[in-house]
Amino acid sequence: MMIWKWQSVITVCAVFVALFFVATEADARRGADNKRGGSDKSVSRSGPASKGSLGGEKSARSNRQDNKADARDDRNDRRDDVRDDRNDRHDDRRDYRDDVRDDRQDYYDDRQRRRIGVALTRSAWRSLSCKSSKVIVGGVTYYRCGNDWYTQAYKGGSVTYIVVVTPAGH
Amino acid sequence: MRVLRIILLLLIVALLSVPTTVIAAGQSAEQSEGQVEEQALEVLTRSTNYLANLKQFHVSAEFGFDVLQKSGQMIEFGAHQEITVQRPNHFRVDFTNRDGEFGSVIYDGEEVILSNPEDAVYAKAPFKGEVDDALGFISKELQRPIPLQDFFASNLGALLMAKIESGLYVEESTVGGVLCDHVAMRNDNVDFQLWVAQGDKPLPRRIIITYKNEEERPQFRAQFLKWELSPKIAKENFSFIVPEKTVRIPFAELDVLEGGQP
Repeated sequence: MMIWKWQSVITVCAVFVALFFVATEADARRGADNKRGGSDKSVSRSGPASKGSLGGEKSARSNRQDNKADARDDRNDRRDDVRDDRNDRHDDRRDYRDDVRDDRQDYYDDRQRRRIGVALTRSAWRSLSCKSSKVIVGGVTYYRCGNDWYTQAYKGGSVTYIVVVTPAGH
Repeated sequence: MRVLRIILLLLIVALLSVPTTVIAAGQSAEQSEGQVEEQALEVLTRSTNYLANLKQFHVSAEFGFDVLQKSGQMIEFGAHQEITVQRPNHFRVDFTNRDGEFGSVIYDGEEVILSNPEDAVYAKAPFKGEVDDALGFISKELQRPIPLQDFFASNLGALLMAKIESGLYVEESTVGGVLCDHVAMRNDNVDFQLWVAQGDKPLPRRIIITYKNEEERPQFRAQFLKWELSPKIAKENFSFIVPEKTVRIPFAELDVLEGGQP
């Protein structure tokens, strides 16, 4: 009777252990499948540790603390300035309203374009949906992609594609 | 029965001694906190002085660093670097990132040249100065700090010693088959561990930097694989011969881009 009881305890334990391994195996497989699915496009590739700097620079966090103190001082100065500016603004508002009317038409023409000066990393460039064409204008190599014109340049030490204004005559 | 009583007694003695051991260990850790051990400082000084006085060297290094993702997961990236320095004003760094991107950063005393053969591009900017100045220019003006550049700057000692809050000589430790002194230092920005070869050539063999003020405390880890202190350096090592079909592109930080922006 006692032996039978022990046998059932061992059997129950074995079932639990088996279930645990099956679950772990399934998890591992899911992980492997994710990997096969290709790299996530949104993976960040650099951060505070990527430079390997030995502490010559202040961390972003401590900079944030300094910024907070500066912001407090600035706020007091700003309060004084605001009072003076209020009157000027009243006059400016009228002029601005006229300008906005003119700008709206220009914006409508350009809104399909990316902002000038935006830099695309190599991987972002490769993932663009359009098929780019290489155009040489006045000895300068441009890349045209839809309505946008790009030029290659080093930015932050990496090769990037930077949105530039459309070259003359195009 | 007697045996059982002895076992029970031993068990009680063992249980009573555990908290005492833990407290003792805690006390010794507290004692070392905030102190800079003479031996640790000596290892650091010896190594940094030795490095700063090397007229030329070549070193290959493998490094990795943590990048915290939005998901909260830490992912490691890294690269292999071949560094050649000839003081006062020449260096070359060839890198191969783990993702396959490769290229070089060259300073020939007159110009700084960055090249990426995969994209068939290079860029150059005039600069005159010594190694430290050029590293500063590349890091600040071109926004391209070179990993491990602190190790070939002559102010490494000052950089490491600045604001050190505590220093610990951990132990003798073997890295890559070389017997080293292992030290652990802390300043207000980073904690770092350094393994320095014992003997008459106190060269760093490994470093781990922990950015303790950053979220999730990411680390930078590097292993110096091979040091050559009398490398054969040809003049061409520091010059860039433009390969066929390779074009020069500007630095966005320095040049006005054609097309007018930025």
